Amino acid sequence: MWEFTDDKPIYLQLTEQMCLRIANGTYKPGEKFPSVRDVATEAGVNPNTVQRAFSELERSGIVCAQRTAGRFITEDSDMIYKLRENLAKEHADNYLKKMASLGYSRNEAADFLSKVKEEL
Amino acid sequence: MLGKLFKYDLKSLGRFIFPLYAVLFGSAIAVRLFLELFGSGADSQGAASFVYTLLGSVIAIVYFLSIVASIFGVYVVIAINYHKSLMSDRGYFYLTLPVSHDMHLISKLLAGALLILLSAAVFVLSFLPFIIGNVQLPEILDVLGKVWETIRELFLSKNAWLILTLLAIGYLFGIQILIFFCITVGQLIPNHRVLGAFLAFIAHMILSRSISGIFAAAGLERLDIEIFDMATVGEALSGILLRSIIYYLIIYAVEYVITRFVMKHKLNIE
Amino acid sequence: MSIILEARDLTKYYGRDLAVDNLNLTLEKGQIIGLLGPNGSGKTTFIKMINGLLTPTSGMILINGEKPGVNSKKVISYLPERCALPDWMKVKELVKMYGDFFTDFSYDKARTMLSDLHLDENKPYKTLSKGNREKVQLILAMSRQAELYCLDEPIGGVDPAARDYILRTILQNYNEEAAVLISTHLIQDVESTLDRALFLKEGQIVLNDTVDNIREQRGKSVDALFREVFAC
Repeated sequence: MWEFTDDKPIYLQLTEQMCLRIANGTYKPGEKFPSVRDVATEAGVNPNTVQRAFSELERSGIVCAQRTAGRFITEDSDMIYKLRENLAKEHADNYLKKMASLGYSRNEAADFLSKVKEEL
Repeated sequence: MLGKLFKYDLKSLGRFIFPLYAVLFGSAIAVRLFLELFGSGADSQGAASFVYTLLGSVIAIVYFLSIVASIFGVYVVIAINYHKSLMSDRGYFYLTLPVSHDMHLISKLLAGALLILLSAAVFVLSFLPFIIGNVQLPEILDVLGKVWETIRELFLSKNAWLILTLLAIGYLFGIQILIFFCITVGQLIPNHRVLGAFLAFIAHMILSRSISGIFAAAGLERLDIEIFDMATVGEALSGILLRSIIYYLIIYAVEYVITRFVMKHKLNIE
Repeated sequence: MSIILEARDLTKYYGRDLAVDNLNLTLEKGQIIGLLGPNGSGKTTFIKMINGLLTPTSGMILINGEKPGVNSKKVISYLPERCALPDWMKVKELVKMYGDFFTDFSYDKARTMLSDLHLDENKPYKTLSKGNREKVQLILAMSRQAELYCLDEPIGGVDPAARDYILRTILQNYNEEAAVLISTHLIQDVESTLDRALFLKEGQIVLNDTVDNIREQRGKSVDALFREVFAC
């Protein structure tokens, strides 16, 4: 469910993975966000760390905290769309960089992708 | 809290002592039964005589061993329980309970005292199987009464009850305190705890014997040797007795304080 | 951010051996702190001093501003490294005993956890395997609502599944009014549950930082850093 690597702070990884779930619709717009305690227990992570990750999400506006009702995912579909796009751009950037290290130019890399997408 | 500690200390001690009492009673009854059933067997010969002797010996040995055990056993159990609860792995649990060191000691002393009293009672009662149906009971009581009177006149004259009370306190608590003292001070010597306990005991013996004699005899000068009758001798002796008992009680009080101090500040359970 | 524990120039000698060397540290409520170090680094000595089982040679240790005593023992839940419970009792009698002495003990929590880990209350403690005995001790310690949990090697002798359960329980029990001090050498398992890591080397604190900072500034996990710092 939650996978953490050794090299980055856990709160950052948590933020990323939560963004991913919001971007791909696992957490739906306007839905209530899980509680700190639930995520902490499920992920085996310190509650303060989880709290820090949540605060990051609140800061970016993707998650809104309503005082008594709790935390909710934003209903701003534009924002979620942009989030998804940004994450996709990161993957694309990564692809292009790796192909460049194999000697492919950007155009070659793009063409290559079109060619193999049927096979994969 | 004291009540709860006491409950658990009692349970801890009791599980060794009560089986011992059962054995004592059981063997006393067995001896009595044996004597009743086979009393005349001494005359028989051959195989029957052999079985009689063997069975009789076994029962008699068990009985005498259990008498000895019931006199000393309770102190052995008290010592082992003290060491196990506070000076071994279990100390990690007991000494982190929200209870003062005094409470630990007092609880153990009270539980031990109860069991010492119980042991004494059981010891006396273990003669019951012999006394029941025995016509000599009134005579025995008569003899006991006379012995008691002599003791009273000779040693206890005035302050009889004071002396008896102090003796009881010394008997019930003093020896326990000495045991706790030896064990606690003994653990100050790492890796040589038993030796340490032994040395502490020797220190106690030297101190108590050497000075108490002087202390007690201080009363002797007042004895006017010209008037030599039971009354004045009794008075002097009772004075000496009283003084030496008080002296021992002071020693025990000091040892209690030392024990508590070491427990609080110098303990290292390993 | 209130301080539950403070050590000031805390030093402990065993004869001539220096076990704890001028330790200075504060622990705040609401944090889970890892006390990490190799065997013999002074972890257990430090924890014993917190619990009043040892007196410092010099310096002091304060819990809620007081020296270790009856009051501190009321609010500290201690899990020793050894099996310290009287083993002649049955598990349910041990539960009762805990409840008798600690007012913050919850019978319900204890029973739930015992059944979750498939431990039979009616068995005599001494008949349990070592791993199960450790689980019982841990369950009893975690069933209290203490202000400081002192756990000395809580997951060392248990199987991986039980380890996960234990760490989850520690997280579930988390509340802002309590601090949890975990002494362990199984750093990888506990790293994500920690706020802060303390490295103890030869009786001294050589690192006192949050897990986040360590990862951010050094680009490696606490476990990896530990292996560097304590390389043999």
